[in-house]
Amino acid sequence: MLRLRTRAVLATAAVLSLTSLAACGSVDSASDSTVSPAPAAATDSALTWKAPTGLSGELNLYSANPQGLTDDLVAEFTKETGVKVNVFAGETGKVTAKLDAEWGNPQADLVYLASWAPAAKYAKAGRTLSYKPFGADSVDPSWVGPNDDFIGRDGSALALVVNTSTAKSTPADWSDLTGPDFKDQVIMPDPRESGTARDLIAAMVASQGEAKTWELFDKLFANGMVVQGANGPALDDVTAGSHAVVLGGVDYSAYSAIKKGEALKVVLPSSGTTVTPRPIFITKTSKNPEAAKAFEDFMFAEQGQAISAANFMIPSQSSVPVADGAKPLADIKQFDFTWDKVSATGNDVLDTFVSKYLKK
Amino acid sequence: MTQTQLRPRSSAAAAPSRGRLRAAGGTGALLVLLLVGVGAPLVAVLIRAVTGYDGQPSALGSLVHTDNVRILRNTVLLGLMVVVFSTLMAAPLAFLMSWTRLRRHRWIDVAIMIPFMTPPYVASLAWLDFTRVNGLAEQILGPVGTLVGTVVHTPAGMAAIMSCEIFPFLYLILRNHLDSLPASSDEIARVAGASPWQRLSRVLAPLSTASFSLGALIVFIRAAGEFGAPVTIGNQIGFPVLVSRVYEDVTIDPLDFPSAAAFSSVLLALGVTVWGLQQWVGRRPTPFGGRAARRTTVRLGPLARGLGWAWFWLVFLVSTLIPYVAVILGAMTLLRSRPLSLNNLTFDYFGIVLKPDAGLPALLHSLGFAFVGATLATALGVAVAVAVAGRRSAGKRWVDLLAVAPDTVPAIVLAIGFIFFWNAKWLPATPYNTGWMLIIAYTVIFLPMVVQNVKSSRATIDLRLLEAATVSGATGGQAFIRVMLPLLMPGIVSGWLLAFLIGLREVVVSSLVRPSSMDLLSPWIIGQFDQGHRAEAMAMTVIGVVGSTVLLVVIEAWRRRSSEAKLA
Repeated sequence: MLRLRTRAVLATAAVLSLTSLAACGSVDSASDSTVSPAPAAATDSALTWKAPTGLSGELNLYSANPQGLTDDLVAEFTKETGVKVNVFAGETGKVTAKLDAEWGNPQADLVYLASWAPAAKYAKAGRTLSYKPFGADSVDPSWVGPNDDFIGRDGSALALVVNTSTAKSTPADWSDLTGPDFKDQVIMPDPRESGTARDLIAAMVASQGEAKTWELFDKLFANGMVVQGANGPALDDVTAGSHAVVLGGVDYSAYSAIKKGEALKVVLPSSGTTVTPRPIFITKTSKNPEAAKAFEDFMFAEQGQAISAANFMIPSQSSVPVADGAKPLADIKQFDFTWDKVSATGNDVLDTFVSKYLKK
Repeated sequence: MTQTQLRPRSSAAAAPSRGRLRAAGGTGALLVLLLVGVGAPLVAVLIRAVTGYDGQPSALGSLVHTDNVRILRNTVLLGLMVVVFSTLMAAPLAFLMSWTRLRRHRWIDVAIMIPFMTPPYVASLAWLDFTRVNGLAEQILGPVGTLVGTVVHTPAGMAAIMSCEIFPFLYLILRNHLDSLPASSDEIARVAGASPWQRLSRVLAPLSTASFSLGALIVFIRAAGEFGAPVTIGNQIGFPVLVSRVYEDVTIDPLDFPSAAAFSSVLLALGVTVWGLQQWVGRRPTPFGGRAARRTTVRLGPLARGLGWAWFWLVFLVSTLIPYVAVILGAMTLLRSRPLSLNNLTFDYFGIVLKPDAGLPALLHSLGFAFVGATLATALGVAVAVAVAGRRSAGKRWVDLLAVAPDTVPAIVLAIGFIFFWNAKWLPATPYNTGWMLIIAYTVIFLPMVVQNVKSSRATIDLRLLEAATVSGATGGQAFIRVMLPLLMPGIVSGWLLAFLIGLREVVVSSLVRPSSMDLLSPWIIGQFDQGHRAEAMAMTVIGVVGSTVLLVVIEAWRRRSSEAKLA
């Protein structure tokens, strides 16, 4: 009896899946985001890095997402040097939680984060090894931490990510979202969960002053803007069409969704935005500093930078071209602020923002 | 006499006094194991709560702040709501599946277990996706869909979604309990002319109080310690609870370990309080005559049968069907910005995630570690459940408390405790950063599940059976292996199975204490979500749940066969 029924269910399921399979679409393998082109063949540029010989042992790398980028970097480095790299990957919060819990007996050699503030905090506490990697001279000075304690190796811009099939018009700047076209159509990642969203507000305050910033947000909230979740869920919400625009969306996730074929558009606001440098540092307690330094050199060399560009990050070396559709650092208008200032004021600005708009 | 016979380790020829001595030794060894495995990490957290951490001062003083009192009240409220909803879902189904003809439909058991096998955050995300603005609910149901969305975004709605995932714990405990109630208890009442209501309120309810209180304890503690729904739905609707507060403290910059440790201590205190309450409620063993060991069967009228089926389908709809429509569509949607159509659906993602450079290693690691962890936890859990039965001593109470303690703190606190303790500099050797750490951690977090199940089975064993074995000349070891163990088997099997399934879906401990380069199933899924690879995440969820279901069906079939053999 049971066997008969099981068989019937299986048969039905098989028929159903076959019929639907025939009618279904398929994932274009070119759009598989985990595959990225091999780094540009080493040209004779001054940024070409040659793997040092004599490295040995292993490295523990704690790295913020996206994991595809980390995996590509590690694979290439291991191929060049033979050093095995153990990766702990996750959101910046998970990575810092593990780091903080381990300070009693640190395990990480290299740390690669997605926001500036924690790196600045660790540097201040004397936990990072001062190091000036290969090619650091051509990195924008605002991306280099004090005393070379840490350094931004690629960046991501915050943008307006627009769903082109649901938005009534294409906004050009933050203030356009206060208009009737975007009534109840805007979502912003929650700055309590997203470090980049918090930095955006702090940078606005640093650049334009409190009065102008809160005036903008007063109007945005009056126009029905919602604040919800971290960066990924906010983009997902707009992709799925629940809202039309992400305010302060991370550019690289949007670019890779566009590459996949989603109906999205990335608009860099005309009045300015932030480009978050994603910092890397070697821990003072590293048990294999030579290999860690080699890894950092590789990350700033043309080979490592090209891998970032292929993953839609903005390279810190301006000579390395960005991916198709993305914008290089020089073409992005930024607010007038310093990362030190934003890191220092971020939490106070966040408190004000939360008590003004998010207290229920 | 009986006491010594209950010990698993009392050797064949042992005189009673020697047996007792060995039993005490066994309890002592268990106590040491549990103190190291469970006690030390929790103490490490408590110490941080008092002393602060890494230059940050203790945060215990801030606990009396009004905001924080509200957080505590929310936590208790949420726990109670989940207990109520879970009872409404689980109790009628457990009764139907144990005491009525509905039990012939074994597939219902499997259907009830599907939400249990779903990672909790996936269920919340699926519900949020189903009810989002312009989502499936609004497209299909129109204004009703909007209404459902509104309900989901309330504390009660959140509690209902959490209950969908937690109620199987209660269901299993109640069903196993009802299965083991001898028919005579109910039949005597029926023969004596008791009405159905009297049989329910005077016989069934009192006999089930201890088991129910155990199940309610598990439900409450899980609801207080589960972070999936609180950090997704709860944060959206502004309903902070202790666990979402701790989660925020340890994952969002600036990290605040003293505050996390302080709030965890509150959660631990809450858990211990509820545990104490359960101990008091279930303090008396349920005595019932074991004359007719078979199960009873209650005949249902057509109306009652119809209501029973309607109730099952309602629970199934809410707990499984709706979330899984969202999950499966998510796993098969090519472009999320395009409308739903056959052209926009694909099976490709199932293949993509099973590639060796994608999710396959994570899946295999999780299977392996969950298996080893569940097996060790089962061995330890049986020892604990058997050791704490019978006459109470201080040692036994400690063993009992420590064995359920991992369920009284949110997993994230335990994970941090593992790191504090096992990565301490003064340890001469440590499993930290190796697979062994994960095995220890899994064993510890699975332990309460196994212990509760085995204890539940243990509570229904009539001691006279063991006495009979002794009288017939069986040694302690024989009585244990030939009488006790077979009677415990249903509890052992469901305990192992539940532990294994939890291992596949567990996310917090898996993400924090795994060795750096070892991927595991749930962290992999949540990582895909975080990076916006929704389809990959959902596809892997489906694969995990289908795999778990197959295992469940196989074990259910075995369980059924063995119980039929027992009745024959």
